[in-house]
Amino acid sequence: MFCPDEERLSAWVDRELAPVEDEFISTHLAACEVCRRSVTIAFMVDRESPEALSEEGQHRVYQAVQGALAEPSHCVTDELLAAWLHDGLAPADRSKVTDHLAECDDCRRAAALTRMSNAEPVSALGPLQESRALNLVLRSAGRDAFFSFWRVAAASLLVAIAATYVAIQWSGPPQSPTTLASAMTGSDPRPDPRPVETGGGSKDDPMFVSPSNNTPGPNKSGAAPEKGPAESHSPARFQALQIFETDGLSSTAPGRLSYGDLLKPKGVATVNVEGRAAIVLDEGSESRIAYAADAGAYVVELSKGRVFIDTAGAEQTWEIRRADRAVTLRTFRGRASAEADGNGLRVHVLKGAAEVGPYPVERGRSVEVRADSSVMVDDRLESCASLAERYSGIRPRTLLVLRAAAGTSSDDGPWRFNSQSRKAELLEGANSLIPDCADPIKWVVIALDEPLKYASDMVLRAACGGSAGARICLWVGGQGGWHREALRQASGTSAEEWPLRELRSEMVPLLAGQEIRKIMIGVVQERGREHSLEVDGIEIRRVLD
Amino acid sequence: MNAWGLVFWGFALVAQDPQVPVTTEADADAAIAEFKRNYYRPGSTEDELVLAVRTLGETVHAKTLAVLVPLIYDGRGGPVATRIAAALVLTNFGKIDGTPEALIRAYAITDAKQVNRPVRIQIIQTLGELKAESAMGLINAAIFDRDPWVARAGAKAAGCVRGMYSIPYLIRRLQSVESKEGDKPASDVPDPSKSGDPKESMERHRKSEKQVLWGPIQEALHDITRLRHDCAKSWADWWAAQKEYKVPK
Repeated sequence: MFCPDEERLSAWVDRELAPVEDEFISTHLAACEVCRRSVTIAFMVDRESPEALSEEGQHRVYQAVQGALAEPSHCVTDELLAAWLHDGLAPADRSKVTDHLAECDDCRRAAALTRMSNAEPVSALGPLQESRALNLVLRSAGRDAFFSFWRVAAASLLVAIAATYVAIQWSGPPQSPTTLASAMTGSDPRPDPRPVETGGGSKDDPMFVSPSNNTPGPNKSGAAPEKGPAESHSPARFQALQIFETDGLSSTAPGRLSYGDLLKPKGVATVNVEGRAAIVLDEGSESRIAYAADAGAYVVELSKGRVFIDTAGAEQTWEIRRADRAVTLRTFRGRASAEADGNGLRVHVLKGAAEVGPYPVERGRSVEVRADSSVMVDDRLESCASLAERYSGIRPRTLLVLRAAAGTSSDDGPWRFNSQSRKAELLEGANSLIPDCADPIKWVVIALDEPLKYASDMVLRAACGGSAGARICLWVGGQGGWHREALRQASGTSAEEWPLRELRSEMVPLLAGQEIRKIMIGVVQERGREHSLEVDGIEIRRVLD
Repeated sequence: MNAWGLVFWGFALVAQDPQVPVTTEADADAAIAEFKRNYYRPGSTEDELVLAVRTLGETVHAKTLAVLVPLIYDGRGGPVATRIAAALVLTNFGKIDGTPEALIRAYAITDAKQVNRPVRIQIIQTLGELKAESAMGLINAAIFDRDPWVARAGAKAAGCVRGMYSIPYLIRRLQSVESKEGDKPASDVPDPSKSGDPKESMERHRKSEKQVLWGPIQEALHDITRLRHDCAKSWADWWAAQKEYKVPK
């Protein structure tokens, strides 16, 4: 992307360009934050230069801003508008904002521009999408929309001047206008994102929202999580991710991770993404992860070091970014490593295959985006082999896909379930569940709100208590019911593990992709002997090969 | 009244089971191409193969049927799970001519080895789901299968198809399970107990053939006749009174 020079930008501001060039720069500005910022600052410096303000002038500006702030505004707040844009409002509030937008040109333009602002990296869209998005905004808002943006920016500047003025008044003798001016023009208009460091962080670390605050289920379109200061400037196209489990980070509880959270582990760390993929952060790495709903892709932004990605056998799209460079692995099924290489980015495919642009990239190959933005795809068998060895030493062996507790219910968090009792009980009509067992069976039942799709590498782990030597029946149900038997060797409390692979219904095994909606663990009451069973927590994990 | 009648029949039509849309040839070709890409991809896991078959089964067309049926009996090198999946997805193919016949052919090719048991059971279950009257002969034969689990699937399928020609076969098998023969254990699944005498343990808690088959046969007879009788003898007496046919021996 070539940025226009200041002269042309200035001419664009003054509407002195030919229509074709004018449109070209409009398109460029929609995608380029640097130029947009330059234009905005130039515009404001020309018209509202703080240097031009005397002390009296500053005071007048302060009074004007205070007066403006005292007036009740009918426009929706920025927070509401942002929530409206991200479907984060209750229906009634959403309707109010929508009604207001129907009437208010300024807010409508602000909303359109927010969508187009660099908070959403338009440059990451395909050329067709970019052109379409731009046309939509330009058609609805007109080019004056940028001036609406400036109005908002100018208002922010006035508030900033006023705030500085007040601060100066409170903190002692006023600074010279030159210092103030240089502070205003030279500073980044965006506040410092202050990334969250999760490695070795405190329990108050905002990376993880407590389960009660989670949006239930791994629903990518759900409301955004509570934003810490770092998240308020996350690119809007990135959504928070449901994290099922972490290891090596400050918190191991399930929660959410957003683009604003900088992952900086002290050693090696693993992140279980929605029970669908594993990310392993190697020592010394710094990265962020998120979900890009527009591309249907998981996103890893790497600042430093190396990360490994494992799709756990599923086909997924991954966007690996470093600053403004990105490699998108489409239809990726396998393992890959991504590392910051000087100012460039290098992605190795360690297992499986992916499509990068029009090219299939298979195991043993790498994609390199160099500092000069050139892209190289080449064979790197040796590097891939050594990286695969490294990954093999640090990788997680299992991937948590479900965690539930017997005798409780959960309406929030990534897993919603209902279980009446942790002690096995006789159930009415349950005699026919296990057609090849003649004895009565007492059951502990856990009903899932959302079905779990079976994979043959799943194992069920349960913390059990009760009689030793008891026959255990495991039953899972969806559109059918599948079961298997096991023997509980231990007495008292023990952790039991049963592969789900041996589950059958009418001697027909459970097949990959079939849905599990209910999990029952039963103890067979063999003739003459009564057996007890208590179940606390259960987990279903996939065993990664 | 005529208007009410039209409304009634309109509702009746709407309330029928939703039909799986039959797709175009181009859709089928695309689905088959995708299937070949996924199924024959080197290094595919068993789950990926099964998912490839299940995905293909979502495209209901004679062409996809032609790809799925051979998968049932030879699996094209895939594991048993793919063969079962291929038989399972054909439950959606009721509107495609020749589906029951293809399943019958697949069943005939599949021998009675232990490894094939789930495939044979799934074929019978699918034929039952399809309410395939043309498969009555196969279903009746299954009712008499030595393997009580295949017989159980046969009885359930007979109840789904509701063909009167299954009645004597069901009654005959009921007579068999009510005799001493029915007391032997129905399951040969290895006992999970490693200690003690597995055989003794199995006999202690496994259901007998009678326990596995008696209920499904009674249910199948009820589904066909809408009647209930307590035992095989009552059924045989009733049947003898209804028809000249003799219960097969």
